[in-house]
Amino acid sequence: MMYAATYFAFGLITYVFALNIRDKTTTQEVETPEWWDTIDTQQKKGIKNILGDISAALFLHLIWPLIIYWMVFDRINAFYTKEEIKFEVLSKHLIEQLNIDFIEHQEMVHDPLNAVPALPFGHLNSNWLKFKKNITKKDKLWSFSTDWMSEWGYKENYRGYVIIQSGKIGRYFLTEIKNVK
Amino acid sequence: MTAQFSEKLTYQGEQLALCTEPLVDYFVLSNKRPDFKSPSTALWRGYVGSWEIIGDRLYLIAIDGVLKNGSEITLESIFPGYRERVFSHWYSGTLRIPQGQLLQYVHMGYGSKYEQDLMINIKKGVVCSKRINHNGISDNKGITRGYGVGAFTLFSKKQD
Repeated sequence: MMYAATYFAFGLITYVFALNIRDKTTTQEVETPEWWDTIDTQQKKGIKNILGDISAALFLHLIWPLIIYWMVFDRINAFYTKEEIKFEVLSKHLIEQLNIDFIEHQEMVHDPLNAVPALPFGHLNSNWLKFKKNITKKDKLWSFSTDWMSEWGYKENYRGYVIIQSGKIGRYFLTEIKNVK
Repeated sequence: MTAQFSEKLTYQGEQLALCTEPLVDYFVLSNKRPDFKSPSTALWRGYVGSWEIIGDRLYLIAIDGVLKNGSEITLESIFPGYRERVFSHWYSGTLRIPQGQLLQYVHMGYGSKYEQDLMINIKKGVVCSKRINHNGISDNKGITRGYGVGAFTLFSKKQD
């Protein structure tokens, strides 16, 4: 008995909450039978409200657990399963068009203690070779820079180079990530 | 999350605690991250890197850690051909070195606050500027100076 009372008490609370939402929303006009038109406007309003309230109360008393689930758990679930937004280079991030020779000259790394290979991009040279492997003469290389929110919630500046193929932005090569205050 | 063990930095002859992880940027840029095993809740990244500033350049000089397959990680396993030191040209950012006495212990990441922070700005592995942030003066002179972790949980090793 106690459980049934608790169950319907929660149903009542949900019903009151739903009433509050109903009062804030607009209702659509529907086509009505002739006998309905003979009833006074105020009485019509009263009948509508009573019938609506009774049916809503009965309905919500039975299905309030589903409503609680939708209101609370579904939203928590959506928060934790939201898709990670992948980084991509957009046209507004592009800085200038460059060629491979210029980039490799600019990105040559030197060190007095020889603690890095004297190659373009130093310890990242193998990644650069992979990136430029399938670049054709028709492709264009652009430098880019943009701020991006990391998965930990920090704002970072991403810099690198991107291939433009037939006017479309293709693969990119990240060369620097820096925290932005 | 637990407070984390710091990296180690040798700078101007002193051994310091470094609350920045420059190697993370290398793993992201190279898209190669060894499968480290976390030995405790205070070392989720699974390794401790030792760094040194020589001249005005930041070098990685050692790395201590174990992979999930049980093998020990070395500098050469990440940077083939480089046993002694690696120039960190990939890194641009600010190194944070907490100094002085503890002002406020925060049991999360590198959140604890110390009397001052030495901040060294690095651009492509080269020191470009430094500054000291003063955070306050500790009332309790009995507290040990320098960065530390209050408590953590050790993960048990698998018995063969």
